[in-house]
Formats: sequence, C-alpha cells, structure tokens
Amino acid sequence: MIPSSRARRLVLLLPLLTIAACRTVSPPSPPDQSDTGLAQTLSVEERTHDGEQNAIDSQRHLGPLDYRSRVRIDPDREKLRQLAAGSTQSDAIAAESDQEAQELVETRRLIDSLQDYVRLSRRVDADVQAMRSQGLEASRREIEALKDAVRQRAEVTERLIRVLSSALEDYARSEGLRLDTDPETGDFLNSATEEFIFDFEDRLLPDGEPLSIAVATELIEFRVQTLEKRIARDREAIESGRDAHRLKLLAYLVNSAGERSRLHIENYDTLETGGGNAPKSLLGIPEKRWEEVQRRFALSADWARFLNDLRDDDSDLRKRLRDFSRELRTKLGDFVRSLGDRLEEFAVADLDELATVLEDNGAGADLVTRLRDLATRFRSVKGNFDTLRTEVETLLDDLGNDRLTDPSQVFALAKRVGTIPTRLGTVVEEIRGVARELATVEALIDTAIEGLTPAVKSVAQTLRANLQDLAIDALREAVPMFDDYPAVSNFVTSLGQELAAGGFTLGLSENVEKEDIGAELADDVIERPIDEVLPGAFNLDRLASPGERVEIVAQLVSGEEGKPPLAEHRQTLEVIGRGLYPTLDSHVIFANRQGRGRRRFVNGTPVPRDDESFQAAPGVSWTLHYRKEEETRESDGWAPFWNGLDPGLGLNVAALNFDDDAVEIGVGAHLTILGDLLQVGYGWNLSVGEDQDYFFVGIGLVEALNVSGLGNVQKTP
Amino acid sequence: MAIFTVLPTKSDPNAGDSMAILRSLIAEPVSVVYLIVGKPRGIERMLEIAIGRAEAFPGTRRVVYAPDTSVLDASLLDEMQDALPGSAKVVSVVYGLEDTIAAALRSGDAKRRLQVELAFAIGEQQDDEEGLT
Repeated sequence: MIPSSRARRLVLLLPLLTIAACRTVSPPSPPDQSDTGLAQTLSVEERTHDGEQNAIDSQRHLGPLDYRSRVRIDPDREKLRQLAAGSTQSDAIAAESDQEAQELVETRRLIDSLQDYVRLSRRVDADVQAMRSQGLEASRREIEALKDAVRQRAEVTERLIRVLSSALEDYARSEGLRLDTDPETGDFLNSATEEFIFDFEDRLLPDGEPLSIAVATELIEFRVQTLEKRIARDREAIESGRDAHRLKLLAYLVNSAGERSRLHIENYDTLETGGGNAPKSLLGIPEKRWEEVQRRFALSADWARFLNDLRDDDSDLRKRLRDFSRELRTKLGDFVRSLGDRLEEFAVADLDELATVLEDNGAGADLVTRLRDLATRFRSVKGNFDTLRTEVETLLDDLGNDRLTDPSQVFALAKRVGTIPTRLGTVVEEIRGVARELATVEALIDTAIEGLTPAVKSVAQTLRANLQDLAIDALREAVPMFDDYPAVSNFVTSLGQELAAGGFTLGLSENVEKEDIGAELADDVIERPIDEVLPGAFNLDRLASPGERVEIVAQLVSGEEGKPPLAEHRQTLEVIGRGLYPTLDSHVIFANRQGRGRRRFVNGTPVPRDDESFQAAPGVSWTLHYRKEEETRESDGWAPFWNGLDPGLGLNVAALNFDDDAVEIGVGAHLTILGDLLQVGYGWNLSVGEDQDYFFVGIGLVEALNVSGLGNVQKTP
Repeated sequence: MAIFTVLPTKSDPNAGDSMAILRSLIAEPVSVVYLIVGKPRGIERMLEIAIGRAEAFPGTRRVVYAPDTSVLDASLLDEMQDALPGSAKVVSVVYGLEDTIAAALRSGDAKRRLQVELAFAIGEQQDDEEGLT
C-alpha cells in the first residue's frame, strides 16, 4: 500500500515533464554550414498527393512539407557552372593566368623592340656626351630635356632588365638550379647557380654595351615559351576543375528521437525503397513507423516497470538501492568518519597560542604569519569537511529509505552522489597541503623556541609538544589513509553512474540507431558532373509521418577524393499533415482502475487507494488529427493556435497489470494535445473479470525525454 | 670627367678632399653616380661590373670607389645604410639624376650585372624629390 499522496505526485510529474517539454520544443537553429550560393542553384518543389504544386524556398528553414508529398529538386546547370568557376581555387588560377597573358603580350613585343632600344640608348647617351663636350654650356632647359630623354630610356631599360631577370631565373630553374640567396648579402647559396648566372649575365650585358641583342633574344624567347606553357597549364587546370566539379544530393528523414534514415533520391543514389517494392502502410501509418513504435513500446515498458518498481518496496530495484546504500555506507562512510576523527584531534588552538607566544617574544614575523595562516587554513578545511560529512550522512540515509516514488528522486540522488568524489578530493588535497606546510615550519618553530627566555621557553615547549602530538603526528598518520581515497572515489563515481542510467534501463540513446552517420560518403551516392546534372526527386508517401523532419543535403564536390566539399547546403523541412491525418505513437500511461482504485468514503473519511491507482503501463496510441490551413487566404485566425495545440482523438491499447504478473490487455479512447505529447482517456481491461474500466493519463515518452534533456536530445546533425 | 674615380684614402695627402670630390661628381648635371665603399668580398668583380655598365652609357654614368670609408662623412655612410630596410649590409648606392640616393645594393647584388644595370636605370629615372626607388 502506498499513501494517496504518491499517486498525486506521479500525476504531478506529467505537467512538469510537459513544461520541460514545451520549454525546449523550439525548432533547431538553422544549420550553419549552408552555402547560400549553392542554395540559389536549386529549385525545390513539393507536389502534394492531390496534385497541388508548391514552390519551396531553398533557403527557408523548417518550411512545411506534407507527409504524402513528392519533392523535386531541380539544379540549375548554368548557375552551378558559375559557382564552380567562382570557387576560390579557380579564381586564383584565372587571375594568375590573366596576368601571365598580359605579360606574354608585352614580352613578345620586347623582342621586336630590342634593336630600337639599343639605337635609342646610344643616341641619348651621345646627346649627353655632346652636351659635355660643349663644356657644359647648355641651358637649364636643354639639361632638363636631356634628363627627360635619359629617364625615358631608363624606363625602358628597367622594364627590359626585369623581364630578362625573370627569364634568366626561369632558365636557371629549368636547369635544375636552386636560386636561394643569403638574405644578408644577396649571394647565391649554390655556387653552381652563381656560376651559371654570372656567366649568362656577363654575356647578356657585356662591358661597354647596352646589351647583347642575341643573348637577350634567346632569353626573351625562353620567357615567352615559359609563359605560354604556364597559361596553357592554368587553362587546363581551370577546365579540369570545372569538369571535376560534381553535385551530390541526399535526403534524410529524421524522426522525433533524432534518428535519421536515408531517403532515395532519383538520379542521385542507387538506394531502392523497400527492396524495390512500394512502401507499405497500415491504418494510414507507414510500415517504418510501425517498426519504430514497436521499439518505443519496449522503451515505454521499461519505464513503466521502473516507475512501478519505485513504488514497490519489495521490488528488485528497491532492494538494489538498499544494497547500494549499505556498500556506500561501509566504504565512503568509514573513510569520512576516520578522516573526521583525525581532523577533530587537530590542535588548532595550540597553533594559535604558540603563534601569540612567539610574536610577543620577538620571533620572526614570517614564522608567526605562517602559523596563523595554517590555523586559518585548517579552520576552513574543517568547515568544508563538516558540511560535506553532513551531506554524506544525509545521502546515506536517503539512499536506504523508502521515499523514492518517482524517477526525479533517483536522478537527484545520482547527482548528489556524483558531486562527492570531487569535493572529497578537494578536502583531501587541502589537508595534504596543511600537513606539508606544518612539516616545513617544524624546524623554524624549534629554532624560534631556542631563542626565548627560559620562562617563556617552557610554555612554548609545552605548546610545541601538544602540537606535535595532536596535529603533526595526527596528520602524519592520516596521510597514508589518503592512499585509499582513489579507490573510494572510483567506487562512488561508478555508483553515481549506475544510479543515473545503467541500473534502470534508461539508456535511451542505446535504442537510437546510428545509421547513416557520414552517409555523405556512402558508395550508393551518385556524384553528377555539373554538365550532367538532372532533377532529383523523392517520395514521402508511406515513408514519413507528421512530426518528423526532412533534411536535404546538397554538396558541390571536386573530383579529388578526401577533399571537403567546395560548397554545402542543408535545408530542413517540417513534415506535416494537411487536413485529417493519423499518427501512431507509444505512451507511458498512468491507469487508475475504477472500482477498487476509485476513492471511497466510509463515514465521510476517504479510504486510501491501493497499489493499482495510477499504475504505469506501456501503450500504443493511434490518433486522428486535423490540421487547419495556415498559408491560404481561406485560413481562419485560429489556425495557428489550433495547429499549435494540435489536438487529436483516437484509440489506445495498453499492457496492464492489475491483478497478477500476467500481461493484461486494455483498450481505450483518448484525447491528445501537443502532437501526442500529452494524453487523457478512458479504457477497459479486457483480461480481468471485475472493475475493468480505468481512467488514464499518458505521456509520449520519447518526445518528453528528448525535449526535456533526459534522453537522446533531438539535434540537427 | 672620367667614368671611374677612386677617392683618396686616409693616408693620402688629399684625404680631406674625398667628400668634396664625391659631391662634385654627384652634382654633375645629367649624371648618375654609382658609389662603392670598403673592401667587401668580390670587390674586384663589383668594380669590373660597375665600370663595364658605366661604359655602356658613358655620357651619364660614373663610378666612384671609396676603399677607405673613414674619409667619408659618417652621415653619408648612415644614409647609405638606411637606404635598405633591415640589417643587410649596403656596399654600393646609386645617386640619381637629382643627386640623392636612388638605389642601394648588397654585396651579392653588386656582383650581378642585371642588378647593377637595374640600379643604374632606377637612378636614371629619378625625378625631382622622388628620392629612393
């Protein structure tokens, strides 16, 4: 028998979970890896089961998509080409290629102008020499005109020299020579290079000559050839880069537990839906959803058993908790008690008094300060430890008592146990620090005492002896005990973990299939060269259910293996039902048997309910919903509220346990709200002879656990 | 004026004229002066190249060699060193058409004809207060 307040607490748990759920049911934030450029190359269109066509903005996150629709994704070939050509790598190559093409034109011109250059150079110089031979009688204007002529010639010289330098460096490199120089002196580090360059330059610029036209021509022609080769190579790289760019399209169906499964996209993968057969459905529910609800039902059954066990003093769960309590009391309790005993003995008063005596008799201020600091530190350690000891003792009591009636208490206990090792570790470290410091100051204390007058010395020696007995020796004995601490800490940590999950089959995440993680790399994905892209399409009919999400992934990839995508776009759409549609889900229901479980009054006094009141049980619910149109002109103002509340009416089948250990089948009718998160209904236990009917409230366990953070939190991958 | 001038050393009787000689060469109209200082490694090649490039345009180019830097003003040596960023040692500079330093070379550069030719060309483009190129 349990008091009726426990039943009330169980019912109270529902709204709490609901609040947690509603608080956290917010759409996932838009993916941050999306590339708007790639999004703009895609047209997405929904074709509903009744033939209506709706364009979907490829950049809109969480737009609605009917669960029976077909979705077509049309990539724009020309935009994709532009995007591929505009990728960083191609841009850089193209810019470099343009620069080289310009240089090539100018370099070719230089060959034809070499003769003119030499002729012009000599003429200008002759003019200057003529001026000098006239005894510098030239006017200022003539001098400025000569300077201008020299400048023009020098400008050509500089351009020419720079081209010849580049050509010579290319030439040296083509000979396999390294051109590294000493940054301080500019000397070539390689003597062969120096010899090659010096020799070439000596021939190119002979003494007394503007330059050798033959050698210059040779070099410039070499430069022209080099540039031509580079330009051809760049063009090839750009072209091959464009050819190599490929488009990948993938689509996933993501259910409310965050499980992802691939959807077949025509022309973009070799997946076959349902082994080549059309997907099946029953009562308007896809086959896949039936399988998923089967798994959820098993989870709901675990939870129902867990909740019922918590209420049953004789359950294995409660026995295990009591065992835990005993073991913890032995290991942690003993350690804490012996540590506490050591700390109690510590002679902090003697420490203070000794500091005062030494201070009054002229001992060093440093020693006195250190002794006082030690006393303060010890008081702080002791305070922390006392608080911790009280908490540990309360925890030990709580673990073994019979007050556990709902999961939140177990989680709270686990949390409390989990904090102990760290806090205890801090205390242990603090005590070790005090012990080390005491050992350091021992000799200083003795020296200070030796310097005191005989009368004071005897007082100080007494205090010193007390300190030795009570503090120093006590700590010395305590320190080896700390060696046991890691074992205690490990034990407490693993107990906390077991309490939190392992012992109670709450490992929801274990039920989540990890399929399709990294499916972007799967072999069945077809990468289409951008000149061969085709429209992709996928069907949701008989595969998706309202409340799920569809994630479309588009990637522009290069031909090279192992390279990250050049651009990626992810779009998540919300699967909805339009008009009337059915859902299927598993709930944990709390069934209150009418008759024996009904509250009775004897002479005006309520009779306590028995164990069967609000008994937890797993159930499966088939529910009809109606979604009002929000996006059309005809939609009324209530549509958003109605769709947000998302009420439903349906049938429930539950695995009850009213009379004995055998499974009993209950059927009922129910109302749900908030997308089947909360449920209330009335049912009949078909397996018992009397008091068959029951009232129940239920909760969509997976959704509630996920959104409240207790389970596998839904996430946008 | 000769294409190549060697400035007196400290032991020469006319050592004190070194700066005046240099300044008069720099001030010569429509001329650029390639000044080499000290005795860095490869000085022979440096001089050979400098003179060879000056002979290609004897109307405008002059080469001055100061084997003994102590005859030069400290400010001039500082100015030479400042003509290149960083700690690289400057061994030669070109005074351009407007009589200020237009280019500076390290010892390795001064041994390469293309670099010396480039330095001369830069000096020959100097315009008014354009300064160092």
